[in-house]
Amino acid sequence: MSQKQDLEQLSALVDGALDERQRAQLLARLDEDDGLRARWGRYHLIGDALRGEPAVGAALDVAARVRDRLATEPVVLAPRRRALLPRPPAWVRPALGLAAAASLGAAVVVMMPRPQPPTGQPLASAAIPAPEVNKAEPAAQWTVVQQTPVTRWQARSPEAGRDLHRFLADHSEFAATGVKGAMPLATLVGYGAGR
Amino acid sequence: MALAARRWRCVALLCALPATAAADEPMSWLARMDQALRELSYEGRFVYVHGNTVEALHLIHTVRDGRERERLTSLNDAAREVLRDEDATTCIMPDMGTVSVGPRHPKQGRGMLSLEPQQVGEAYEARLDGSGRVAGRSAVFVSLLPRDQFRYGYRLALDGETALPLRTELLDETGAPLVQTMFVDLRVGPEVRDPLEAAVAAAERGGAERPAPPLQQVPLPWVFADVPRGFRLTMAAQRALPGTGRELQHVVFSDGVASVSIYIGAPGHHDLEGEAAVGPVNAYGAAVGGFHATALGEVPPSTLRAFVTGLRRQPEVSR
Repeated sequence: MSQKQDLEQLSALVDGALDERQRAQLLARLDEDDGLRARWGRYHLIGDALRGEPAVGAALDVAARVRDRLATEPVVLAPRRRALLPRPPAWVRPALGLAAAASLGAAVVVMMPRPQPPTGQPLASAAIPAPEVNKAEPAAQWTVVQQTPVTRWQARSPEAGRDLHRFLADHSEFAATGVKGAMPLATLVGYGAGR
Repeated sequence: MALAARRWRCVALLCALPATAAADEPMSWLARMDQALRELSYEGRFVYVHGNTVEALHLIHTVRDGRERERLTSLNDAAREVLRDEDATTCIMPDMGTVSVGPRHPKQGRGMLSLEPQQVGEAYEARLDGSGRVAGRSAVFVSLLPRDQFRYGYRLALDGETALPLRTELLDETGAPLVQTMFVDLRVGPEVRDPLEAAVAAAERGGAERPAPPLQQVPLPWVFADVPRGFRLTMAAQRALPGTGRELQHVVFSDGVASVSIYIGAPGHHDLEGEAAVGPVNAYGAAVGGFHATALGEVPPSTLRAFVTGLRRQPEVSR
């Protein structure tokens, strides 16, 4: 079974959408497959966080449930999830190609391909002439100034804003390094605040 | 013991720096900070100020057996959260109903200094601005002043003991703060633990997630004719836009501090035309030779415009 099929089955399991035979087969695979089980645990952490449950407490609880029930009676989990979560809109699945997300209500789970290190692409670059030096003079004191209060993309449509947010989330992985530390991630976490 | 080990690491770090950087005290502080951010375990609450918005966030960064794990949580409104470990980055936005999970950027070279003093020195003048007290700790103030208008400046207050950034400011072209972060409390040391760490470890015990399939490595048929000074290519790949499946070419440039991403793909219905901004992050989009390019980064809009308007399709590798 391919990884994509595994993930779709995993979603269906959490969603309570598998028949008895399929459920038994997948649970057997969960028991054998460390990677699949790891992903299963992560999805449940996400589900709890999305429902606004306290992350730490929920995570500890989920971890215990994962550990204990996989070892004893894993079948119990599927009906419980079904009772908790409504089925998502049908468009969610094809749009994302990763049905595991659908089990989390309106959640969107995006799997990004692994970025690769520099590979010497044929990208030529020509430096433009150096402009005049424009050094910012260090201020003597820390100050807070009022800038444009933008915490969401000022885009022409919600869809355009969502696309930009995907770019932002993706880019933050490359930006949050070195001197900048977690600062770009703070922008990401702060995104959408102040509505 | 831990303190002694840390001191030895600092000594080793300073020895590893080029002679020019070792003699350059502000750059040495930045190198120490860079290493401390990756190698120390620390936890604290900090405020994030941009525009007229103030956010309170909680950051836990732990290192266990050489493996980093980081969790950043908003303390206001919905508990937006970013978790990063060496396998994946997970962004949870409960109020937006969105989650993204992505394998981490490979750590090639992260065992060494990721800060390159020479490259940073080309784009910024590093300056020591004295000392003071921040978050109840002694602090050393370091500024990174941009050598041109293609990047923003930074003012940092580094912990005098650990070199962790207690306060950071991103400065616009006039030297005014665009974004400020400041810890209000900070704990540092091996005793710092994330309660979630044990939970995730238990849930994921026995194996890491499967690695994502490798990206399709193809020559990118683009030339950047106007790369602002100091920016160098750090990544170029063909990939799918997360969440949409749109095939894109993704190129990243960095000046050693600031990064710019350029996403190039077939025109879509919601493409950005012109400028947009969120917090300190700017974006610029335009049609280029039958394709659409969107550039994004914590740099002035004019820098993004230079990248995009200088984009040329390379005929010899066109498919």
